Amino acid sequence: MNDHELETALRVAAPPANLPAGLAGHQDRILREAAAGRRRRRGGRVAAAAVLGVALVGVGGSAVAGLGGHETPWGWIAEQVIVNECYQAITVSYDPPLTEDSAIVRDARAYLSSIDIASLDHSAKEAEYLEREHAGEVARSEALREQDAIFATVFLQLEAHLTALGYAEELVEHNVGIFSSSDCSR
Amino acid sequence: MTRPLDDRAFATAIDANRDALFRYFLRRMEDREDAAEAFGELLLTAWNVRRRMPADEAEARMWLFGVARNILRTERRRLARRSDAVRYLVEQVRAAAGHDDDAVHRDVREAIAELPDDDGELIRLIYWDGLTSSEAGAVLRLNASTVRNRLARVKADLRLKMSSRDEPVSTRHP
Repeated sequence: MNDHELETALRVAAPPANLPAGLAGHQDRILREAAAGRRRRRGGRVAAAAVLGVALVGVGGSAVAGLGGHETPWGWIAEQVIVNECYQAITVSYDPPLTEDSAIVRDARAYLSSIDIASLDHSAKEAEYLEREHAGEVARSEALREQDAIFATVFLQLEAHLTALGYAEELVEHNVGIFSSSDCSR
Repeated sequence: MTRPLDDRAFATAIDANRDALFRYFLRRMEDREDAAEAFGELLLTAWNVRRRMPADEAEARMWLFGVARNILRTERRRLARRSDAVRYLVEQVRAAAGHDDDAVHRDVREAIAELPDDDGELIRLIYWDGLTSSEAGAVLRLNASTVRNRLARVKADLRLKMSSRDEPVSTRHP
């Protein structure tokens, strides 16, 4: 088998990939819904969302490390990385009119980088989640509860910090957020 | 520093790569439903982190493929947790739905599937998704010379595997 034959065999072995009708319309609907959901979430607080197909399984234990300015395997520069059974990166996100050079974005990044996640007291959030689960919310594993509690506590501290710096409440509540992205396959 | 995209540029990048990204999932996932779900997840993820998308058109494309790959890996982990019984059910349903697969093509796909993860993905990105070797290297975060060397080695491996499969059964199992 020469190189040309091999390459042809590889190409024609591609599984069929017939696109569904109206894919562009589906795309528009999904993105419109995402934009609308984001606005709704921001009604009362800074947006905090987990992205990249988060499947946080078994993040228990104490190997939690807070690090600043880390490049993740998928190319982010994250202000915080939580390393455990899953790898979770946390970074600041923002919406117009803010830009990367806005003072509040710079302050948010600096503060997020400075948080010592290993010694962060997230017990209040953890207790709150447990109570909500007892009240009927879908139960999560202890490890996932801990992970979510850390994330929420980081968010609350960042919000409090930005408010304490004197930034307008509306700006803090509507234009700055944090996102996390996880990879459990490493 | 990479200049972030505005929302209009984000939409343009998604529009330009939509079909290729959906096909990326279709070619790697057993079920079209799973592929559709993964594609939706890709859109939501890309939307959420759109400020991180590079402004350059080619870099944005590689960035999107990188996000797609990450989603695929997470999804595979989820599917791997299926019990044997569930897996059997899925196979039965698939067979009943008449999934037809040419035996020769199936052999090639199996040979690719037997490669280490990154090697297999390198082949798929180039020969199934039509990326250049440097684009595939960008998705896999490999430099150009590594890609060249790896591609040569993997093709040699595949040629060997596929040649041995082509041999008559009697010569393979004397």
